[in-house]
Amino acid sequence: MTPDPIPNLYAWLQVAQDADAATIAAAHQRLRGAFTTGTQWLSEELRQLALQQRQQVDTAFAVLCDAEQRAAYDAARADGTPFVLPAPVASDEDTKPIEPVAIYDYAPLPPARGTERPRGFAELPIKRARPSRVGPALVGAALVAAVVFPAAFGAIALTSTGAPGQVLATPTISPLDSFEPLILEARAATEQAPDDPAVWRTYGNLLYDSAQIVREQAPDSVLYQQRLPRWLEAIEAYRTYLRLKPDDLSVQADLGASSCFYGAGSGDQKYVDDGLNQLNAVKDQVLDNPTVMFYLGICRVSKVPAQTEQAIADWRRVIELVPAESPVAAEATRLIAQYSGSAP
Amino acid sequence: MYLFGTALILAAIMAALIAVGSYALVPFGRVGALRVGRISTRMTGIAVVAVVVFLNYIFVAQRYDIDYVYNYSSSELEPHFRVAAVWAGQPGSFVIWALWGVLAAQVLVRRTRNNEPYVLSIFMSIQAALLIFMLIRNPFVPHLENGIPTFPTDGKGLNATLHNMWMLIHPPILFVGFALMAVPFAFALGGLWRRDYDGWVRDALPWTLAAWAFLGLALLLGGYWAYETLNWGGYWGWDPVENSALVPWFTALALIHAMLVQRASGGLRRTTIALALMTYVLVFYATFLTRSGVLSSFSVHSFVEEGLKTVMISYLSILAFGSLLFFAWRWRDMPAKPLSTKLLSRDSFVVLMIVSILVIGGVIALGTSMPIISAIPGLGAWLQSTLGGAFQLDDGTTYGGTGATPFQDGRFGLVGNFYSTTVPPLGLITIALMIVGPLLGWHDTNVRKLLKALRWPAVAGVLAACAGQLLGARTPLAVAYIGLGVFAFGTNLLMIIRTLKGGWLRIGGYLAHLGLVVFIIGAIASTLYATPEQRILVPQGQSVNAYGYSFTFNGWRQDAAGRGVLELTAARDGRVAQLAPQLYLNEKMGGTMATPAISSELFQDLYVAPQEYQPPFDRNIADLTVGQATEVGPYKIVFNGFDVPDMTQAMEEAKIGASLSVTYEGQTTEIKPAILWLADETDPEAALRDMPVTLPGGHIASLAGFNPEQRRVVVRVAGLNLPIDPAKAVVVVSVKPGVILVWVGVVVTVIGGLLAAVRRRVEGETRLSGARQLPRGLALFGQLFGRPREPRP
Repeated sequence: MTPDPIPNLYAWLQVAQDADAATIAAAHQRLRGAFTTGTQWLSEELRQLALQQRQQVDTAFAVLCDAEQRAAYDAARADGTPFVLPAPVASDEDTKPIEPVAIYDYAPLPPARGTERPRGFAELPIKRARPSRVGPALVGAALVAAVVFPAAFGAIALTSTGAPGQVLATPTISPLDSFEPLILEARAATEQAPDDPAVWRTYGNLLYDSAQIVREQAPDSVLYQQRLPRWLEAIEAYRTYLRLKPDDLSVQADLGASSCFYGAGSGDQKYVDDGLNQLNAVKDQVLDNPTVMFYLGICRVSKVPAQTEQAIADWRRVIELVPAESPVAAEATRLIAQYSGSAP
Repeated sequence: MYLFGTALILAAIMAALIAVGSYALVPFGRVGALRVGRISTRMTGIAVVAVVVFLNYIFVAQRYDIDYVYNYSSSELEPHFRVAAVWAGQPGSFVIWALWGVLAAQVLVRRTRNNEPYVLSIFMSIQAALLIFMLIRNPFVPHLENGIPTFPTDGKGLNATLHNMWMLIHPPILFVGFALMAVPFAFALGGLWRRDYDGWVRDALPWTLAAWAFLGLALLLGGYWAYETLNWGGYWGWDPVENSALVPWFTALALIHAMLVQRASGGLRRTTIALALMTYVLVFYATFLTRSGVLSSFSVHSFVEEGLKTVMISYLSILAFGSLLFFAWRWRDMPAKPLSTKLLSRDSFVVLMIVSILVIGGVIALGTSMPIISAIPGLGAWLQSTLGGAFQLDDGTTYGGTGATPFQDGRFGLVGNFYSTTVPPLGLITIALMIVGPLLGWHDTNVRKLLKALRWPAVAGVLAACAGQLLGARTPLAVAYIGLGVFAFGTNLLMIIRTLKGGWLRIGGYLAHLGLVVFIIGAIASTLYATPEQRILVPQGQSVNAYGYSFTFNGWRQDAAGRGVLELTAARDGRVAQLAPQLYLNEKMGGTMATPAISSELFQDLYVAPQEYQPPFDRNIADLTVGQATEVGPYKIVFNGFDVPDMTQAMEEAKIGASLSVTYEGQTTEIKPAILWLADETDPEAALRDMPVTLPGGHIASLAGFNPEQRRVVVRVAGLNLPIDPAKAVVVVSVKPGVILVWVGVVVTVIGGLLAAVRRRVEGETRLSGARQLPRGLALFGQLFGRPREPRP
């Protein structure tokens, strides 16, 4: 992969290529706040890093906020001609020296042993060491919240005679959404290096996983319906990969599976057929790959009319191929039981 | 309501305990825990403010389903008294105490520097204890009737004695004093813990001064309240509740002086710490005495709820023994610095002053604790016989109200007589020290200059003593007080003039001395020079002379609140003062309440305490119940019973007669005056017709009124023209000279204390920032309220 002659300013600002001016301004504002150097608790190394990041953000914004410059930049990027970025401007926030903050030394004083201490001894001992601030603060807040509120609500729950109150859901990041930040990063990476097949493969796999996790855990949910287009994006990513590296069978198998899943989810038989073809092609080249066989089975039952007997035969083959205690075997057994029961 | 309020208290307790725990971790190297401590301190503040707001809300919203609201409020209470009713009872007073405590904690977080984890872990543990008391005496408990929660339509109302403007001010200020007294305690214990035996004094001094000033102000307000509304005839009754707040005030005074010595020379380290610890233990001991019910038979402030006794005894022991243990643990580590060996030095005089103040405080504390001390088996009887010879004793009946029985187990209390005998001679020593002390240098003094400075104040003192004698001093003690007081006033005034050059901020201490002298002169004048109490009987419309005043009784009326008011005027030298002492029956307290009337002039107060109101008495009238005999003029009338004819027949009229036996010149006749009621008559005037009877002597007797329920009649005899006795007011009057000096003196003392607090605060900050001179003008306020300065690197 050749290094990109022009840096991707959109990636620097973490916005899409077609983002409008308001989005760009908002992104700039947000990132500028994130990379502030005024915090006195930062180490020098981190401060430099933050400074560098902020100058990148400023530079990108200087170009993209101006319609003319942005057009020139887009044109230069499309042609591959060099584009001169404006020099970063240092703000006084960066040049101003940070005053060290005195931290009191809270340790007990050494014993006096009954003798008079010198005048002004330990009047106000000061330590310059900086304790990490964020960690303890978070721990403290969590601790206080964990004890005070359960105590308060516990009192209510204990003393109330009526029905126990509803258990409040704890708002955490759902595991179903765990791939979302990674996908954003991977997408930015594909834009940075569109010719690198590894990047496309990672991107495709992340898209695949993000849809697959919902398909496995909540196949009937609205969320899965919303995630369905992910399969198309994954297909697109795998296709791009295969254009760059045509003979990768495992990616081709993933492509087939994605196609099948999209077809099954959306009811579009064209994709199911397409997926079946892909998987069959792979199956012909690598014999007895359990993963391929497993997905082939799923593809077959997704077809209308379903090729249930063939699918069950595929899954039986999977069980023969993999160790009995593996999850794939268990899943295949479950599917066999499910479909043999419903089979006419 | 109950759940929400309780949850708030619980949250406050939890947050306070977390603050204690995490602050306590910091000295062991866990600096990160500091942050947790600060957050939880803030959260305690928020929770306690929420409790107070919520409690105020249920009072203002008249939630009588809450027992506390039901007991202390009612719908006829004015809105501002509904707020004040919050602290009318025991649970609410803990609420308000804890409120000031946690608010002080918020400031302490920013003001304690290196001492923060030490001071705040101790301070917050005190707040946690108060909050736990609050939880035990939960103000949010629902009102139960026979075990069933009910929502009464109206509450029982506020105690009439508390329904007073001073109720709005006095208790909150008292609790400011109590809450702030915990600050020097926390600083002293923290200093011991950190082995910082000197540094804590700098930061604790302004807090101590403020606490002392607020406590003094609260005592003044309480005294004024008592003077104005209770019929004691004075502002200080040596009541246990008053005494128990006075003792920590004395020890705090000693503490302040010891702190000043330590700041100046580094001496008195152990004394300072001991005094700081003792002061708060005494504050809590005062709370224990007055809130746990141990003194309920020995005080007019009747807090008879015994619910907290065990908890409070345990906490008091923890507080006392814990601090003693800490003190003993560091005793050997603490360096001791010798004081000046010269007698004529501030060092020596402050030590003498501390001793004298502690002796006074000790005597008062001993007297106040007598009901507890004498409860020790064997000791009580011995003490009773020893002290009984010299002082009046209270066997539990003095304040016990009706039906109180004397204690048989040797328990007894001491009344005012004990204190007024013992305290004044000791106070004289303190005044004597106050004359010379301020003029001395810390280590040594030029005697020649000292004598020179003493010259004019001494002359003034001697002149004042002579004048006092001429004005009719009754005891040598009074003359000594006047003379020495004026002497001390002179020297302290001299010191104020001297120090004013260095800025008005520095005069606080001397101003407090000055105020104290003024107060003492006022106290001596108003007690030792007061006229004896004279009981006078004033008939309505007539004048009676007493102490140069001409008292006129204009009548009795009921005011808007239904209280009986005696309307009197007191005239002297052409000036007429309106007096309206109140006398009414308080059903809640089960007794007659009397509120005095005070006419204040510049140099003396005329104090009028109502005793009795005798309604007008008409000699022409006989007011009789069945069988009773009364003489009206030459007649002796006996009421035998009602004479009511058979009512079933004639419906157009009804007759009610009284059967009377009248004895006139040895002969007895039966008469039956009656009232006729005509049913047909439309004019109400004419409907009732009098049916008089002529008596043997030719006079006419008529039935003027009757009450069948009480079986009572009123018979008027016309034609005798006997005199009508007017209504009479019985009041006790006395003239108290110089009472105004008492108020002025304490106010000046409090101002002096607060000024000193400001100065010490500013000084502490200034020293740390390296500046040499105290700021003046607006810069002062910047230092007072601004963020604490960072120390010199």
